[in-house]
Amino acid sequence: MLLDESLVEKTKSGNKQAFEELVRRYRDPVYFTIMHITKDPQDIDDIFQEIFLAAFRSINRYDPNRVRFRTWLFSIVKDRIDSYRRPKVQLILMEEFLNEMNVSRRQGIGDSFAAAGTEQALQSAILSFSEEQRLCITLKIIGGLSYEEIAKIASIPVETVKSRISSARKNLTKRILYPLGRDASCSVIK
Amino acid sequence: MQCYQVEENLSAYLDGELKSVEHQEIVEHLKVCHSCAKILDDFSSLEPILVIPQKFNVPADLAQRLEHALDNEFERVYGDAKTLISNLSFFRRRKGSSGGKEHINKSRKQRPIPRFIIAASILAIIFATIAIASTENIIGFSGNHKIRKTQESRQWPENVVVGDVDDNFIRILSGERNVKPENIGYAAIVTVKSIDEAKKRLFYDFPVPTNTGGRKLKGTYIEDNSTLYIAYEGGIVIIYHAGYRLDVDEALKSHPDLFEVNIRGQRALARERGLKENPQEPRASESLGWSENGLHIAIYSYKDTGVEELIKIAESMK
Repeated sequence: MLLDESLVEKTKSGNKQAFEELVRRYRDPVYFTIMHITKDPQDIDDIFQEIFLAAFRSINRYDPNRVRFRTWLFSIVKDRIDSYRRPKVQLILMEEFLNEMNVSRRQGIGDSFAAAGTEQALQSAILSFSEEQRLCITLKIIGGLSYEEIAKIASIPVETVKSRISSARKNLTKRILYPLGRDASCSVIK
Repeated sequence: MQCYQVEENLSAYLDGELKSVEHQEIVEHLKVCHSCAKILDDFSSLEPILVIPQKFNVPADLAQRLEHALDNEFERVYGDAKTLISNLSFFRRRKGSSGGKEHINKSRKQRPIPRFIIAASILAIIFATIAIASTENIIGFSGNHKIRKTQESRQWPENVVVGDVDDNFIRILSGERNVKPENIGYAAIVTVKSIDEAKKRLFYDFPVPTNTGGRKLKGTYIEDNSTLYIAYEGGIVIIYHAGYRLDVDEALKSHPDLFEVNIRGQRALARERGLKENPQEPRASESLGWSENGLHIAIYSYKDTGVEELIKIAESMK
């Protein structure tokens, strides 16, 4: 399997299949991340498409010697989610025009999840976290990113990433393993 | 290490993020501390669910829409160019622009370009791109202190280029977005010196008005390397947004206050609100929008310029 960075180089040379492969590799984790961080489910589809279009448009500015492709891509993910977090992100009138693109809206964040109880519990637990914690734990869940890379994406110090992931784990332990408050012997969930 | 220190580090320990000394200290502590070992057990039992669920997929319809959007984008950027050089030169010779690409293709038919020249060209382009990017990062953009302050309060991801923006533009944009002017710094907006400069920086070609009724250019701005704003005197702002297509019929159905007009053969939508300039009213007074060559173009009036005037400006665009 080709490295992401090799696919990037091919994309820069006009190889469409190379970028399509990158999209195939990252569309699920990107979508997963957006779903867990974005407050408004109606923005998910728009953000998702914009991320890959933005990545394609700026791929010539990506320098593989500075960061890995996935770090760069998830920086775009974070930027885009941030931009939608503004009180009213789209130009109001433009949004009215663009809203007519017949983009089908997701009814709820959980649509794509299997009905299995644990996954729902995980999802609901993550959504109850602070935005900062959600970003760190979601980037951890999608896998393949070191704390240093998560720090770069989130624009925070590595130590902060470490403590946010740690508290997210403590919260998850409390909510998923001991939802009824059992096992008081576990000091972290007291 | 004390228990509280171990607890703080257990999560990073599980992720293999500790230095070897700390790692070893925790290993030793866990051998003798049942309480901390229990916490680690709990963390470990969560690991199987801290992954993307197997059944999780992007909805098929969304994946398909993305595929189409990327197809269009690819076609727009690369067109039917077959040569490596023209592919790499899409910054400067966009599809539909005059000269360049056709000339190169013609030259290749007559005498193939040696491989070493292609390689040298690729290197030159790569170095030039890196050099331009580095220069921007070093020099930055001079000007607005208010925005600069906002930028300094935040660490920007590496891929975002942030510049200063003109006060007039800030007023317009902050009004449209219902945010305080100081928060506009959150957007990745750069001021470019001229429309020609914008053409060099953007990945698409765009038409500009040849007749603005004597209104002078106030500023040209690019956001996220994709959206272009051109502001003229008299509160006229033209916005170019790549990658969207306006569905006129749907818009007319769902927005009774819109009406259809024709701009150089394109179906366009207009809205006439008849508002005078009002700082309390963030929306534009009149607006006009249409799709053209993969771009959504919209013209807004923030003062008392009527739709007829906006149509004249749109019709003069080349």
